[in-house]
Amino acid sequence: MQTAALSDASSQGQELRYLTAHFRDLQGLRMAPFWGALLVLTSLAKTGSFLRGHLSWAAVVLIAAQFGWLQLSGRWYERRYGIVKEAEPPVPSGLISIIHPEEARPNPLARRYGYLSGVNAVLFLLWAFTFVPNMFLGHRAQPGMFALLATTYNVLPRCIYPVTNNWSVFLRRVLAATALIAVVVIYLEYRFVGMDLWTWMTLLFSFLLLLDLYDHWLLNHLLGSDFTESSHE
Amino acid sequence: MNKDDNLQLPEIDRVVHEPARLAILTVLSSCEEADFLFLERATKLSRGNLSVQLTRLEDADVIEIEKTIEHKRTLTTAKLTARGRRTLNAYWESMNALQTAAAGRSTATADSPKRARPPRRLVPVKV
Repeated sequence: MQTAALSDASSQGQELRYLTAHFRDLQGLRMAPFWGALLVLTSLAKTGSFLRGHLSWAAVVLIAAQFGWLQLSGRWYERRYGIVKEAEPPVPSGLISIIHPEEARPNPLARRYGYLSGVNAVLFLLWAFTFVPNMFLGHRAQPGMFALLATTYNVLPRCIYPVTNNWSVFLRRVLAATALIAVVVIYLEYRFVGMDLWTWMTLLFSFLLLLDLYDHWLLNHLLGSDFTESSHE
Repeated sequence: MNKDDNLQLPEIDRVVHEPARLAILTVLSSCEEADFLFLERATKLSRGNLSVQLTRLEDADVIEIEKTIEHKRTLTTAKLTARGRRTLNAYWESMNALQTAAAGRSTATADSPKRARPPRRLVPVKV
């Protein structure tokens, strides 16, 4: 009985540790509107309402707007769920004293998400410009390939985190792994069987949208959905 | 007295052992610092209870609380002190030792021939 109580406390501890460490990763509404907008764009392109060039410029505008949305949604999450400052990786103390004064030490993890968002933006800008035949890589450009790279960059980190006993946390990993396999299979079908480019894109953005919506649901679920008050103490 | 009753059990830190405080410390051990709202939602404690537990932990020098004004609101953040981190690590070590001791004790009890249930005898029934 003692052992059962201890392991129960340990599983709750695992859940709390996971939630705190992945608090920012689970903020799915930061990216969900972007995937939704891209999904609408590619669906419109599929119906023929958009020219390829127009699509690329619309995507560039969306990427720029996404940076503004990241700030806004970040503040919304802070007001609703609180603030967590991530732990810094250990830095050798000798290095700090010789190269940097301790007060001026940069916080690498504070910039981690900015860096990740930057890489994401660059990948999607490259993707957007592949639709302009004379602008980037000419006629050899492969929008499908760039979309696959960008999707892998977004989905892969969700497949490689320590699993807890919580079923909903485990399901996040299962969904991400399934989506990644499906994306690769569908890409092969697009490349070799002859699937329509817009169908491939629509499927891709649907997966990303669903994964981010699940992340948001998971955050809400782990932090107690019955909570109504939302103000700082 | 059974030999097993003299088992040396590790001491448990009462400040950390209380479930609400343990939950707070678990959250704080996974980050640099967290604010009151996140702690409230993650631990699912009421504001009053959380406030009391945070004060106790601060009094025990396990955590450090900082209050700042941001956007005309008071922002309360908490972080583990170096002593708090050591205390929490020591607590988990003693809990692991306790778990090992408890598992060893239950195995010994199950294997003990004195405490083992005697085999059921078949009693002949007269008809």
